Amino acid sequence: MKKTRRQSNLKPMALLTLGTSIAFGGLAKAQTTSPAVDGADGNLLKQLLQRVDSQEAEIQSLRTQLAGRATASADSLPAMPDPPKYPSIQFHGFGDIDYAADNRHGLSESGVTEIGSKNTFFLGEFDLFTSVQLAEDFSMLSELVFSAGANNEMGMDIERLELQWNPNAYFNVDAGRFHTALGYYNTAYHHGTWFQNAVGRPSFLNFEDSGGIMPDHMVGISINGEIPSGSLNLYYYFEVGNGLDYTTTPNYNAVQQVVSFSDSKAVNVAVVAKPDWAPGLQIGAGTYYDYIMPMAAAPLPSFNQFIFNGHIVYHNANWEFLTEGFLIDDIAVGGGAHYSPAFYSQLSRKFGKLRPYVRVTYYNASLRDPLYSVVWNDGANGGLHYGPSLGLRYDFSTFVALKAQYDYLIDEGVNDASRLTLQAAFTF
Amino acid sequence: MPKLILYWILAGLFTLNLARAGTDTNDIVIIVGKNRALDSVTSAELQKIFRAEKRKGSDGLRYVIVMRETGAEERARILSQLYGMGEDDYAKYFLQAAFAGLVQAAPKELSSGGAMRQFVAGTPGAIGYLNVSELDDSVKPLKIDGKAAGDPDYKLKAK
Repeated sequence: MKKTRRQSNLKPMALLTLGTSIAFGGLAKAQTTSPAVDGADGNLLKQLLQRVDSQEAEIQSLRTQLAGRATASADSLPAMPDPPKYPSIQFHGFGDIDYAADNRHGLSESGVTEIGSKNTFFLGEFDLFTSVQLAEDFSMLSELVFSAGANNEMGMDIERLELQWNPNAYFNVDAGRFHTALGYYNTAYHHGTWFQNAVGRPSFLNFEDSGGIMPDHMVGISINGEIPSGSLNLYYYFEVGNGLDYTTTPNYNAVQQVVSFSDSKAVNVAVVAKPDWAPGLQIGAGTYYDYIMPMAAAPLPSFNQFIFNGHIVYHNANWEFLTEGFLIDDIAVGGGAHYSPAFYSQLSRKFGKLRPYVRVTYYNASLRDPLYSVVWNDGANGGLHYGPSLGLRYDFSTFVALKAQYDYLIDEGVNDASRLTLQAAFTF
Repeated sequence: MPKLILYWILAGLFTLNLARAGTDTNDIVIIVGKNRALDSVTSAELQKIFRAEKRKGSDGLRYVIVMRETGAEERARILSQLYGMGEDDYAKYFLQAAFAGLVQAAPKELSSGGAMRQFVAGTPGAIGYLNVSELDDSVKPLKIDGKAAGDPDYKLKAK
């Protein structure tokens, strides 16, 4: 605006200057030339008229230039914002390329780790993320993930496909395939490893097809939002979905995304607090329930499965502290209960582009529980698993991170092992 | 004697002007549309709005967050004083928020105070910020915790 005003002031000044120069220039010319053209009034008049014509043309040219500059100035200001247009689409991609080496031996293809060799370069996941605003209160997001399994075959999964309705802060609905609000890590981190400081998820929270034991994904409906609670800032999640399929049948997707083998649905309820008086602190608790009818060669009873969980998380500009605890309680119909505890704690601090971290992971899937000792992942997860991890993340640039992690692995039934993993994770 | 009085008046005015220049003229002011039914926010609310954790105002309008371009002093101060983040953490935060379905994209960026005023004035739900010296009556400044720019203990005071 200031430029335009300045230019509009400039215009009369320029005209005034030109007019003055014409007048004085004309007079001077008249005074200097009049002796030479005495008696030739016609010629003088003709010359003066030509001069006036040329200076008028010059004035016109300057006017045109000024008008052009004013238009250009108006164009350089941002146009008045357009009303939002739907659908509005955003794409992002995430990927990671890794190398790992360990001294574990006797590992079966479906063992507790994804890597069945002593050392290997491997492709992590290539995640194509799409987010679309469909209307003011409707949006969708999807994660299409390409990754290779232990058989070296590349596969593709729709890891998330959610239609979201967000009419207000207190009542939001997500429908489709989403991450179960089961603690903190599973809600905060999805398939892009670039987001995570560590090279991967705590082992028991690995995805269902990668050796984890938790129902990370759900196909169903999630209702969530704020609970009016003043400075405590409570949020709730109420989720209903198909739950997981517990079967020893090979190559079966545990997430029941089309056919549900039980008419009983899984239910998850969680409450999270993010108090104003402790910025960066998040405390949460929840309970997951499912009625499970396992499919195995030998007949097994059905189970009422409860997963109780709680978490305390703290973030600030430099520090990150995460700790979560889970207790799986599988109660056989007509039989006893089997408890499987799990927890992890992770601490990291940022020093410029470097972020060292330490994590301790523990889970003990009860060997008396046939769901884990026989059915789930062919029983490979049964028993005690724990160990520390030390790592370093280096943010090479805003969108590329290099990570190195050492794990000491203690897994029941196999030798204790050390593993080194190097990862380059990126996003765009 | 009248000269002495005049000297003291001029000296007082000069000192007052210096003091104002030192405390007020670099305060950052949060702005919304002139007709928006919103006059004041708390610090906690403001952080939630700019972190896209609070998506709609009490008037039902969806917040449209607007930031100044990378390198602008006002942006650096908002990142430091409101987000508590640097540029890289800010980029990561909004990527993660998009990934979690909280936002569709990072906030729009504008390259001048004038553009910010014009966008906020013309966009329902828009919320942005200016150096207080760039404020005019086309937009409405918000009080933070009941305090306006220039007040002592104002949240986004010049440092």
